[in-house]
Amino acid sequence: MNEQDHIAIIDYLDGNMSPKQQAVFEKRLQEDAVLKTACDEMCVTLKGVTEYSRAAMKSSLVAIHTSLATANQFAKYNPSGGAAGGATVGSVIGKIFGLTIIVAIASVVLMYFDKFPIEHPFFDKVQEKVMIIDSLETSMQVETIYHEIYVPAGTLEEGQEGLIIYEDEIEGSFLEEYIDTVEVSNYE
Amino acid sequence: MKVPQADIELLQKLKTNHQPSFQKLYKDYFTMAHYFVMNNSGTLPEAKDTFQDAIIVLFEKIQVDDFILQCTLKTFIYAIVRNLWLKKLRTKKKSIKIEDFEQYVPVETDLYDKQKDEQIDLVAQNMKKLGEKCQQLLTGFYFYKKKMQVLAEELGYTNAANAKNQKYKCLQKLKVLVGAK
Repeated sequence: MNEQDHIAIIDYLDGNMSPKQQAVFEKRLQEDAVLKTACDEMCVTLKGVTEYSRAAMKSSLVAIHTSLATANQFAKYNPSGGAAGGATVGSVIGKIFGLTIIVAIASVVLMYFDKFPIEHPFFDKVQEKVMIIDSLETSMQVETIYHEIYVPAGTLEEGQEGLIIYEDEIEGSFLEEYIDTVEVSNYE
Repeated sequence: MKVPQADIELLQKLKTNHQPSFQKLYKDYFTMAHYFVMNNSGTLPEAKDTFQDAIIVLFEKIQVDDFILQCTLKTFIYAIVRNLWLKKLRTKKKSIKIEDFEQYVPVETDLYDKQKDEQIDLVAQNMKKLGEKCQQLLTGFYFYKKKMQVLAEELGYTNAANAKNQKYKCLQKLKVLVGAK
């Protein structure tokens, strides 16, 4: 294969051919196995260039994330409400504060070590979530985690929700706050 | 739906790889993506990963000449994040009932699926071995969709034809590097 063929392959893949030139080239591709292989290889090469570019862009986005997180500059999010009618953070917090008491970090520690005095599947569920969060943070190996669990007061009834707030801390300053909920289910 | 002028202006800046605009996009919409992923069986790292992929998808979409934003940027990004996250859940063979927090509009993201191909990865690895100018020329043309004339001016080539010739040489060099593996 000569240099003209290599140039033609690139022109073809770059979309630089007229419809007529394209038709002629595609006919050649059907008839010339060597040309077809070279064209396929160049196609992979161009996909590799795109993959490399995506990876480079992703690195710059990771840097943006870190700088925004460090400055705690993420915009607060208030869900508009989707087709499935998701609950808003505000409504969840309102609901939680309406019927909950705060169980402080100490309680979480007790739950974490399976020594919480009240036995209920709800607490197992909270514990499970906390452990998931913990394992997540351990894998990142840079952040320390604090949890506060807001649980329904009084008797636990099906449909009530507990709210988990957890915050990342890097080098002494809180960066982000994440919210998760645990619903009380009827385990009877 | 009337698309806010601010969204159109932001997209125009993103199209030119304007870094402060990427920062603004990230600042304004990451928490939305995070909220969605976390409330649909995801974790914080998965939310970060999905949102960053969504920005890349958005960037590649707006590079296409006939792209027209037909909803708000927020809705558009939400749709991309939702699609990408659903795909990841499918990959993990997780079946959940998706909980939505925004209006969902169908958006095509299949074209931007990451191709798991060893050969493509090998090429991407070898891109790092090319000179800085070759890297800029290839990424500028194939990813940032810059015109040859623009690249010629940016990289100091005498004209577009010369830049095109250099691009050809860079591709050949890349093929040799890949073949040498």
